[in-house]
Amino acid sequence: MLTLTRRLLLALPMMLAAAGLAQAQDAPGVTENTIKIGILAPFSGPNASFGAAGYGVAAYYQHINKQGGVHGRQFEVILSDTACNEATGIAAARRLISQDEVFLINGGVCSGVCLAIRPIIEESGVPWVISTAANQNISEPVADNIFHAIQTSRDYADAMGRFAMSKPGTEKIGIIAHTNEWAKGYQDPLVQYLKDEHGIEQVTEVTMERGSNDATAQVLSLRQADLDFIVVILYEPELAVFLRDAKLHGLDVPKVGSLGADFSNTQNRLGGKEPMQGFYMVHQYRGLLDSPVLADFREAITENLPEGQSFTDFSFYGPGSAVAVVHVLEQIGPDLTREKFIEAMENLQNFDTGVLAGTMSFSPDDHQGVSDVNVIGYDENGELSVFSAWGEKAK
Amino acid sequence: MTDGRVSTALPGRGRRMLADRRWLYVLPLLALAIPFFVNDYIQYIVNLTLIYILVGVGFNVLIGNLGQLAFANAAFFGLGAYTTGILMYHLNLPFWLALLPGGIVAAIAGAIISLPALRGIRLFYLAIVTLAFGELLRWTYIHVESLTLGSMGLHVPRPSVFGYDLTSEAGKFVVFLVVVVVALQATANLLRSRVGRAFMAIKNNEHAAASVGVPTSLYFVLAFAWSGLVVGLGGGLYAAHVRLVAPEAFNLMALIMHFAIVMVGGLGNLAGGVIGAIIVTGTPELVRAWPGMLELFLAIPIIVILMFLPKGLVSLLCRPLPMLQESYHRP
Amino acid sequence: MLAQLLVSGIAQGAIYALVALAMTVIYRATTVVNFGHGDLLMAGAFSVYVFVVLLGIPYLVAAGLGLLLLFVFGYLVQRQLIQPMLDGPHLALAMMAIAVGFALRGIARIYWGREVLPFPRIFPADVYVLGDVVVTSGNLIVTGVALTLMLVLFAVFYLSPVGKLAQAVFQSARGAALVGINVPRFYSIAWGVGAAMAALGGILIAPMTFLYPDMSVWILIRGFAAMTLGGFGSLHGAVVGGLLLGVMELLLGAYVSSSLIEITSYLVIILVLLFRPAGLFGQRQVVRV
Repeated sequence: MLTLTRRLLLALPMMLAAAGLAQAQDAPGVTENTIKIGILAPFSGPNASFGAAGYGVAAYYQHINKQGGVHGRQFEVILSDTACNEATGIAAARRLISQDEVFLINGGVCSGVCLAIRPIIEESGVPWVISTAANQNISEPVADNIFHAIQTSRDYADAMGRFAMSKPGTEKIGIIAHTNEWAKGYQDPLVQYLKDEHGIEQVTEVTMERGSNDATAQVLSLRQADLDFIVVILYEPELAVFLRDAKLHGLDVPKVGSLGADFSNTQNRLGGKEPMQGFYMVHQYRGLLDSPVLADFREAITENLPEGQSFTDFSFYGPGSAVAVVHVLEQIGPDLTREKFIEAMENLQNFDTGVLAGTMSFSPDDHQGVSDVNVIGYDENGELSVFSAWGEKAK
Repeated sequence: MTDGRVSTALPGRGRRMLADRRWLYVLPLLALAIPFFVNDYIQYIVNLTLIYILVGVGFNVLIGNLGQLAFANAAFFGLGAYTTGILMYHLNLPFWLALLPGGIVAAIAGAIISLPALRGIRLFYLAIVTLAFGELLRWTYIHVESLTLGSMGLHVPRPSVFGYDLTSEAGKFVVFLVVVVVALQATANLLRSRVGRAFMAIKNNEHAAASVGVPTSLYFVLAFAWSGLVVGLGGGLYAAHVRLVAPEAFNLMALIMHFAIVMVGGLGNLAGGVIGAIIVTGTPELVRAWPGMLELFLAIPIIVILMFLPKGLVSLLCRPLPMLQESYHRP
Repeated sequence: MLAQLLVSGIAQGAIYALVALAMTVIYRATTVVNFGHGDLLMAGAFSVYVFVVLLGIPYLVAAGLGLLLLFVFGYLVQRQLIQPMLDGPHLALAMMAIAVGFALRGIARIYWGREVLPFPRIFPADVYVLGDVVVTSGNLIVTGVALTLMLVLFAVFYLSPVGKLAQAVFQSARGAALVGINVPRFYSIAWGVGAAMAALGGILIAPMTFLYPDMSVWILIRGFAAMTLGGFGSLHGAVVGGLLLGVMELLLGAYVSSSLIEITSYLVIILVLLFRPAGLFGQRQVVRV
């Protein structure tokens, strides 16, 4: 009699064979009609708002799928939650590598997690195209399979420092920042830049706690220090609080801020243009997000977000890297291997993503592909513009 | 079996077997086979579970056996991780030498944290002051950059044991398993001795215990120190496992996770700490298909268990498997 | 600068006082410290947001609805989840409160997890300048509400029959039950009131802090610190403790180092509990064995 157990035992070899046939693969994660892409981002936990970047990357691949995919293959996107926690992040990465066996990983949002994951990905040989995390140490020293397809925090720090110093007469600089690794990733290179390039040894540094709703003490301290320029390295809620209190207590020094926030969103929170006057922000894109230059890209992302996800400013903080990945995959052709991908990435020169500022180039010695950074803010006529230096607009 | 009287359903010898604790010693031996069947990802999770077993067992001694609301666990975990990490990073000590000092530093911290308790601080006051201590420690990790490298985190060099590099998950597994088994056995011995009985007496009625001559102060310090030791060892293992020790890993969220381990598994029961660790470490991996729902998937089972199974899951298992029951823990 | 720091410190401290007051009400009535209180605050603010922005209900009505909703929620939480645990270990109580808070946060995150939302303003953002000192209408209102609430609660607890009820239950729940007081119902109502107060706090604070699921984490610790400093269970202690804490934070932050602001609460808790556990106005607890 064929009991259930015996039936299962008979079926097992057939199922295994079927699975084996289905996986007729040229390379891990690649089949005749699919390419598996793993996306690492914090989808839960206190930093879940940054997970929107991961959804944005997924949306871009979905957009490409709608257009027919790449060389007849559709992208199969696997989202893996890091919860912005090192131990969970390593689990997420290992799962993509050892269990889901993705072709490549396009993601990475929390710098601390990415630093923890780096040795594991390096060892595995799976190509990793970093989409959002800015810390330069993730891709430095160069690892064969790890590519930074976005500006690094050192690029941003240099840009902020350059912008501040480009205002004539700037001598005294102040910094207000969080104490976490994200902020340190900006603050340390900035202090270094000011010291190395401009000989500024003394910088007034104050900290602001994440979640706090008052910046009076910090604003008053900065006001007392009689500064020429202030660099602001804060996330969006705290940035809004700081700008509000700065206006309230007359801290009218020009300020430049990092990428923890969105310019228009912050303005909405503050209820108007006034608190934003004199505040500039580094900008990773070639134009303003709502400008015609980026309209197609915007549409591609907003139309294709996964079910149930709504669009936020962070949705754009990742997909620029996906543009590069798709381009490289197209270049390689239908015969796809990880080695070919890595080689093609390393030879990418002056690629115009259509989204990110400047162009993207890699080389065997340099896996940090994008370094141009713009600065946005209000000009004297009250119009939001893109600047290349103090008082000089970008072309 | 529905009337709960197991003894009528099984022959006498079966019943005695299920109550014989020695069968538990088979588990680690069986576990040694795990690396042959699983990929690196699952092995990583298994190793992480071993770390959280230490966390759960150590925490349980303090809040389950001694019965005090001492929320110092994240502090102990962090101290163990940072001590081991610092010794390996700054002094180039090999892992097997750096591990125990991690536990010892956390044990000393435990003794220090027990001071407010000795002065009579209990319940919610004790909870709040131990919590404050833990957060203060975290602030210190962020600001004493020369030692801890601040928020960027401390990169722990390759762990090695007696000259062998622990590069693979399987290699780490063997070492972690040995540490966990030793720590579990030692804790079991402690809890089943007169010290453990003293803990139970203090938990049930501190003043009655004191009035019959139990030196409660001594046992308070001992419980805090032991908890620190075990959890600190877990922290040391964490340093070798994740190899990046950063302050954010020891915040209030971590503390809540440790709570979940103990409450879900079983307050005061050794096996409960183990079971809780397995569940709390495994659940996030099982729900990976639904990113973003993690908090609900943790909070709701905790609420359900608190309401219907306040003694934890182990109370369910104690009936069919009496070997899990401890004399000092009534399911 | 000192004058401004004092004024802003008091305004900031008023927020802490509000939180501490609500937690004190729950504590005085039920001897339970609600570890999930911060999340109740967040839930109150989020529900008003839903009423005003998504359902288009006029602000004051929405605020009232929010208070009512949280009252009912607090009542039910106590009745269904906390009451059954009162006989068990204190740890389970604390854990249950935390778990409820966690669940609230999880729910908020599902709907609004990706965004930080601006909260509609109740009061206009007027600014008053007195010499060197700048005060906003928000500052004045929060401080005013905190002080008013304190007086109202004072009247309730010390001058009204409800207060006698509360005292009786606090001193001996069993005794109170013996003389016919419906103790479980009293507990549930007290939690409802505490939750409604949390909602009030949330509504007042949200325009300044903006709305996101984790907005309450830092507030809980400040509430604890304020209660500890003022003395657990003391209403005026909660307010004085909160105000003092706010001032201390700003003074330390401006004159010593801004990095001290985040640990001021912890230092206060540790120092007070080590050297004067009763706080400023609390009473030394005598435990009968």
